[in-house]
Amino acid sequence: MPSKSTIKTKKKIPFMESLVSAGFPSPAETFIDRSIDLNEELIDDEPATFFVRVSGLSMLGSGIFPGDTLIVDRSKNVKNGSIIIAIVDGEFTVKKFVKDGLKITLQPTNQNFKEIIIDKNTQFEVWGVVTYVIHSLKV
Amino acid sequence: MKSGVWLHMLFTALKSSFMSQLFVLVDCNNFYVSCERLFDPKIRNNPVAVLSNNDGCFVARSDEVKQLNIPMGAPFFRYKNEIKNMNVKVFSSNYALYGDISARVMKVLAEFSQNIEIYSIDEAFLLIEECENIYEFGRIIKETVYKKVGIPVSVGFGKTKTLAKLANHTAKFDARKGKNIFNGVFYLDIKNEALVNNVFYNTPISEIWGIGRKLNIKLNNQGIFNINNLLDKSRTLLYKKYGMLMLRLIKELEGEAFYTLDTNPDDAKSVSSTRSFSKPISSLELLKGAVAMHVSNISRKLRKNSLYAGSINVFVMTNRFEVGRYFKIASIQLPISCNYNSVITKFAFMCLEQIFKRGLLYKKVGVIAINLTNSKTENLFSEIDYEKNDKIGNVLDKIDKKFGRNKLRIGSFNINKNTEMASDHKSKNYTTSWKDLLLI
Repeated sequence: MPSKSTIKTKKKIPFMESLVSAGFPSPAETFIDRSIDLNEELIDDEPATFFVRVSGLSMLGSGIFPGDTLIVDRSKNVKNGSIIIAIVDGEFTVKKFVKDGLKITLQPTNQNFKEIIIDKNTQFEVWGVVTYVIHSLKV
Repeated sequence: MKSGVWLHMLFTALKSSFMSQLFVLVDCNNFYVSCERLFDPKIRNNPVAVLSNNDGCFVARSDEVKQLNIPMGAPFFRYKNEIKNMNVKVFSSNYALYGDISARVMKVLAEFSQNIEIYSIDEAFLLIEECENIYEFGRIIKETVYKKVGIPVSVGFGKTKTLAKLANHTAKFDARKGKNIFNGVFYLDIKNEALVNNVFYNTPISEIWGIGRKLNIKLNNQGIFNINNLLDKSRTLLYKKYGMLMLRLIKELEGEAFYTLDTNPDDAKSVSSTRSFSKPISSLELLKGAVAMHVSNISRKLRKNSLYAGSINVFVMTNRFEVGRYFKIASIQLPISCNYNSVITKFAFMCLEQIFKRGLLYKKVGVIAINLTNSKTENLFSEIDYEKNDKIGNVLDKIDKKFGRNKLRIGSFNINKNTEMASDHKSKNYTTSWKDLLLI
């Protein structure tokens, strides 16, 4: 069995951090003052990251508005309370994943919407975990 | 030469001959169909077909459609009734999407081994060290690609590329039959004689990597139908009749690797050209030189098989063990489906410039031709030999200069009267266009 380190996904280490820890100058010093790159800050796993657009109102309480763009990471493991893109009975939906013991529900954060109870008969699949929401404030 | 250097070389040479290595062939199941299904869960259990650029012929079929005996490349209009009766969901090919998803799959695979060869839009060879639990490793590859990118793959392991290809075929084939014993992962272990015998007996020679249609017919005429038949024949006679290619093939089947990563038999369907640099390079000019060479190889292969590429993917890779390992793939659609050096090189350079980052040491660069067609009617310029005069490259250059970069995109038009649609059923560019995102 190959050692775990060869299978585990390696997180990218920015040049700067490694130079600081090594403690000696390097020809790559010219990169230390690179501008902030949102791709680096907001995306952990590039091939597993997708963008989706929101059309509904069910997650207003999470600060997710129609027209917003969500950054979705398929590599993340779902945790209790994660906002996820799920496929329920063939349909996409964005909801909060809530696990109480063995009971799983997908909850909206808008009281005008109903929660979805996932039972043995429901076709349920996690498409990805929402990591960020991009909301424009342009007038 | 310094003794230290010499000793190092000797050690490396010895090391590679003692270390046991395995080839892995990973390929995506029904790739175009799987790409469409990722963004449309309602069609996961429905029959799906993908059509070529002007909706002329089938370029991808889900298992259900395959069972209708609709062959790959068949003209769409001929099967319109079957398609309607079976309620097949039909898509026009979306190479912006497929190219991007392919890049993602390859990036995930590159996490498993630094020794990776991108073979086509949906296949890659990896070279790994032999380990204890091969099947477990294969399962992890399969699960990781599905979790991260949402694309199902099959994984085949073997001591040689030919064996890995056969293993992959076995993993897939049995899954298709509904048996699913192998669950998409199979190791054709040359040490397991009974297993190998069984597979060789049940596999037609046409499935062997490097045996094309014509060679297959010739061999059939000699009474050679499955792999055991082939291995039973006299090597001398086979060499006399079919040459070195055949001997290499047999050696590969017996577990002796002739083809290394990035080298392939002449008849292989690979439409990629990739190569590792013995000394990593950082200059864009040198990388361009390598890309030009790869494009030349690909164009030649395409012309040899009367194929035209509609898109290309270009990738660069730095050494894994350096800090901030860099592996970037750019995908671009060509303005016309073609196999001309000049045109493809121009666009390959555009891709390279997009993904090139200053200051990095690149270990590998490669070009993959995708969106392949072999229909002359889909290639507007097939009548004129532009290659010799390099006219078309010049024409595009002139237009670029006058109107600005990339203003000219020659659309393929509908020549076949029987097809009603012209890319009418294209899904959105979910991963390459900000306005086309999946709407939830």
